Amino acid sequence: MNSDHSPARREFLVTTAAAGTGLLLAFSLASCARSASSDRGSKDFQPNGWLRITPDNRITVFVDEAEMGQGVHTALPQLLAEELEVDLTMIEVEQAPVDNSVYGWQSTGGSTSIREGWERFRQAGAVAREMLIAAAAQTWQTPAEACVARDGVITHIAGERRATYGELAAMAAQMPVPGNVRLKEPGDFRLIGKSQPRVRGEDALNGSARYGVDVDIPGLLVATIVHCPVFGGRAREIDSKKALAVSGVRQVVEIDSGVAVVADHFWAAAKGAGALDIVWDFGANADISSRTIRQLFSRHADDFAGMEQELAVALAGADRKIEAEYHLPYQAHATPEPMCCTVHIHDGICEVWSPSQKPSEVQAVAARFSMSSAEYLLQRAKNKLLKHSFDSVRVHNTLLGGGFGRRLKSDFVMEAVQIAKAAEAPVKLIWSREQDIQHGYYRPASLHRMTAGVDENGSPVMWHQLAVGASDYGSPYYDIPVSGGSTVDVNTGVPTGPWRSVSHSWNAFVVEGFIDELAAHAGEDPLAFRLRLLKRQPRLKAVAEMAAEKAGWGEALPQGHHLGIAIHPGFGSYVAQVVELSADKTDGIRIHRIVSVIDCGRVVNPDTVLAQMEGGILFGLTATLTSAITIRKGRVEQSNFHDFPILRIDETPPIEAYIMPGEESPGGVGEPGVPPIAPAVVNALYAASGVRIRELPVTMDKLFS
Amino acid sequence: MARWSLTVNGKPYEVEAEADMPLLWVLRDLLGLTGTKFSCGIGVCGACNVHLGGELVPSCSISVSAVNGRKVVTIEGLSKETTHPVQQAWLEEQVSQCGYCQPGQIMAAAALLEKIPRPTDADINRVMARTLCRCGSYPRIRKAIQRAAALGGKP
Repeated sequence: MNSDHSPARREFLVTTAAAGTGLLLAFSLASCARSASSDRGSKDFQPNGWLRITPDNRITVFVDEAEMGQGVHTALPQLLAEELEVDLTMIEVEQAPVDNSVYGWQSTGGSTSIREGWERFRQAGAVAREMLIAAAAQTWQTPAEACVARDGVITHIAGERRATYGELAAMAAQMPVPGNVRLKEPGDFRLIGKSQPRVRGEDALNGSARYGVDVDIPGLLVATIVHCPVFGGRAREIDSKKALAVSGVRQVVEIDSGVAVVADHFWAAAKGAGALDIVWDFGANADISSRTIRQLFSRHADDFAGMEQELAVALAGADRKIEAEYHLPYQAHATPEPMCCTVHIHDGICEVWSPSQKPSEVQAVAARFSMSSAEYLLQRAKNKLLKHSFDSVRVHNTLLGGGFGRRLKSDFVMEAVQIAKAAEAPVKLIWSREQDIQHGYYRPASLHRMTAGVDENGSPVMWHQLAVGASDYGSPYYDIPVSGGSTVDVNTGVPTGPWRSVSHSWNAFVVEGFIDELAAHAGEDPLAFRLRLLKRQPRLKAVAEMAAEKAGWGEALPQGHHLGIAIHPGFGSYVAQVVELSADKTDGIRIHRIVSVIDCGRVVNPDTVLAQMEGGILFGLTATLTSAITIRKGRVEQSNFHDFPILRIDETPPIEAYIMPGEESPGGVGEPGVPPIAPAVVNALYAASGVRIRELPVTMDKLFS
Repeated sequence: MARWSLTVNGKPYEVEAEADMPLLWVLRDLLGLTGTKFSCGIGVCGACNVHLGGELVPSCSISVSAVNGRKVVTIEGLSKETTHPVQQAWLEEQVSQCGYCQPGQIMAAAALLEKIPRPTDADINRVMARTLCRCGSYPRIRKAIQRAAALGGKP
């Protein structure tokens, strides 16, 4: 795998690694040398895994995070370019190869890309800049202080000499890697904090962007898969006669997770899949349903031993106890690009093209299923020791047609490897939308019993959230003397996984709904009530105040319009959202306006932050108003966008997104937009109707029953 | 299997396929034009929108036999260098997030402006509501259509 670089190159790598450059730079050239063409390898300047400058002045930034719409292929290069002193128009961006020895474990989730890349990418650029300056200084026999980097050129301060980065590349590669590089002061930023258009933004507009489903290699066959409709079931008998009779179908393959049809193209595979006669063994989950799961949750909540007593103690000082029960359904990710993966096993190598959020896991999974067990275990032990990747698996991470957490799972990779192995040919597996909706890893359904004790003024003195079916309760941010939660994990038989904003998606709904209830019990304005409980949360308080001001909280509204607010901290950021709506029996629920404020600290690319807030709100609004996954007879009842409807443009209210300027280190932005919207909507509906909705999605019958 | 002829982006093609093969898969798997995207397969999401004889159609829901002898324009053929006013407006407004649905959105918007050069919000809602975006780029789609209309809407 490391065959592209010359022995001389390796020598240099070892030297720089020994020069005490630390984890970031040590040996980081090896992997990128793979991407460089070998004929000019030794003249390239690759000070670390994130950057390559070639003598023809091509500057390439390698991004080790997956691009799924959140803009990391722009914002991370922006950080590097800031320190390297180049414009984004001067660089090319490439997906980094998957190599744990260079980049560590590659996984994109938890809104961490900018938070983790903030130092790393700036350092990578700054180190390169200093080495280019050193190269110029040595060439010109002048002190480094006399050389300035700007716009891809090193200039002598006296203005007599100049050289492009490309011209200096070969020389820079020979410079020692500096150990300690000073980063620019924020006042000197030229790119950070300024909106930059997306790198290669036109690719998505002319059809040239390549996603996982677009992979094509010589001799490629296309497969699709049918899973047992009931979770955990398997095929007992497969009659593939009719499927094999479909023109273009090559093979029917039973693998661990289902039955695949391999064909010349997707349409033949899909027709073949439809013609399969399979007798399923439904297994242990054939009787579960949303109703039985809810009953199970209730039983677990009732059985939660010890809590009653503890709550009673905690409630001792309270004047009154307030209780409420909240419910959330399963949610599907419904990425626009269905699950897919291409695998080609050849010459002792397993080559994988996957739109994945976790390419390091793709590599490990592909290794596990392409090798014999003994081979795999041996390799794994060796890798652990040497902090290496699986050399016999080459992963190409493509663009992702949406991620939202679904592509943190590698089930589709395991399938594609197994199918390609059986087919003895390169295979692209593409799931149908129906399989995608019915065989996901869903945002878990959950039940939450809320208990609060309030004093004679209605102020909460005690707060408890019992979360059943959920992995996490909300971390308390309001000033409440005794505050906490408990979780009861329940195995329902329905596969679950991270869904954009993970536990924040249910906890914000529950916490912000219930605090609104307490405000109502106290007879207080929901905003004022929150503000006086946020004395120790200045950033949260500030976004709440700004959102309220922008939304005109407390001012006269058009007839029938009402406001609801919700706030939420998470992923290192603070968000407040205010919803203005009207609701009545004839016109239904009409959202007129959504105001959103985020404090995500130092902003890298403001327009991306705004786009993520708009997108997060609409993602959350779909789950608030239009969609849910329900279970019946062990299977998902929904199957496509007609019964799992995604919010449409005509249902999209005007959104005003604001960024509160900040100087703290950057917070995440991919997920924080999602959590507050559901509670902001139900709180506004309470203001409009007096009906408190404690179960999602919001439907007219819940409001006007 | 039968032979079909169709014109895609001004270029004549002959393909061999079963009569029921959807245009989407003819484009993607037989002609290698992968700009048109697969998402729902039942004509409800618009990711596979193309222009057929000037009309907007979801290509997953029309068979090759129904397009025999007809003219198809896909996202690859909308303009030579991403210069169609809709594409330009999309860039200006930075509409795209993951980008997967955008070929379908752009084909829908281009068809809309072809028929209604100055669309109202209601026109935009009516035509664009059939093309879904999971990333939630709708506010920018609306702005971009208005911008494209101001640019003249047509290439």
